[in-house]
Amino acid sequence: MNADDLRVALAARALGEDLPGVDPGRLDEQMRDDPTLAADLAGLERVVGLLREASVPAEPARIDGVHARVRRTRRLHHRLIAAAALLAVAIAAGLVARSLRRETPPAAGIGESAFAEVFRSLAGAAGVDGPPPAPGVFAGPLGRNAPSAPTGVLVPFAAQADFVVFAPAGTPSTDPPVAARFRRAAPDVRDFSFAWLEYASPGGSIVILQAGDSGAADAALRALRLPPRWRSTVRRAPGTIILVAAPHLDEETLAAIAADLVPVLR
Amino acid sequence: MTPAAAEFGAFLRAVEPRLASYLRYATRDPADADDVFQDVCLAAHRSWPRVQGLERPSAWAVLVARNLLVNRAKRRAVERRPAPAPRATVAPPADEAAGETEVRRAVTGALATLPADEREVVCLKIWGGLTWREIGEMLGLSDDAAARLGARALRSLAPRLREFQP
Repeated sequence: MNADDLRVALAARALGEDLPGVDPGRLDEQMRDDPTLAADLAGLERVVGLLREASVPAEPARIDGVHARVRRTRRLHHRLIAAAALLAVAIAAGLVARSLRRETPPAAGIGESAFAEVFRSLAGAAGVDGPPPAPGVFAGPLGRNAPSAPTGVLVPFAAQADFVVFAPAGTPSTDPPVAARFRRAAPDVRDFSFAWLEYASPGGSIVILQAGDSGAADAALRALRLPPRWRSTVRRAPGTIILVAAPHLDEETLAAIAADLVPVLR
Repeated sequence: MTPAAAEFGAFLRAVEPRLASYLRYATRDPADADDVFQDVCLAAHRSWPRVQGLERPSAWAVLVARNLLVNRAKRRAVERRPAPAPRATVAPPADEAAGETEVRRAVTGALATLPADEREVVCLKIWGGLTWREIGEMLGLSDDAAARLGARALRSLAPRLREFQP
């Protein structure tokens, strides 16, 4: 092997896989005969180790700035109530439609106590102890700071409903409103892997999941002034359930959106 | 939790650090990296019975991620939108050592000096965990050509990261 090929072979080995066509034993022999080659390899392996250690951290980075944290904390209460209530509506309509067919959507159920009541109805109707409904993907208002009560309620239901969900890693971005942010689910619910996208807007955040391919869902998303990219995402994933939580919208608007979506999910 | 959910969750936990790292270093836009990560996870979920049966599901995830990045770049070119300028990194976790952030910045900077093909190969190798053959197939190269690009990239990176080496 000439000097150039040797340099390439050592670098390839440092990257974890020998150069195709290289005889590994022969390379070992050459390194034994020339200690500088072994030293070269060791140095390159240290670089590779450094690169691997520079992996993106598993823990999400915090958004910098006191103001961001304060806004997040203040929004949490509204986000939680709205998201939890709408999730209950979405589940009712999409999963247990056979048992919960309603003339009018439960739009009046926005609020923590109403959510609990709806959830109890859902759990009963879905037969928590019985066979699960059709599997699907849905989102939950989960995050590191989310209170545990809704999580404790939602997660067992999700498990019973045979949902497969996931929580992608990634660091929140401080980018402009069109940036999508990802947040890891709270550790105690990671096994259930909630998947959700968070669209950061100046006034708050919207939690959205892929929605059924329907005019009503599309109209609801347009009402939230989403960019075309999200609407195309919605159209790509028919048959799943949409959850919308928009803390910057008032309850009346949220109720109207929920009302638009419920017929779609039946 | 159902067995299927547990298996899918285990797959995600296994692939997540590598995939997230590959995307962050392979693209200039952290938001793009996050978006593509989500898209890959959703694609894996939709195709889980098939993905689960693959010999190397993690390699599948990297392949999908790379294809999505390429598609985004093509769309930008068609729409004549400029590629995003490299964004400032988000604030690191409060408990992350300052040194770790500095290393990551140095790695990002060093990668930026590589030609695109070398950068792509080294990202696919180190964080994507692909074999030379898989990289070659993805990029339309022989496995030997892929390995040589990776080797050249590593040789270029080494002196730029010398101060961080233990």
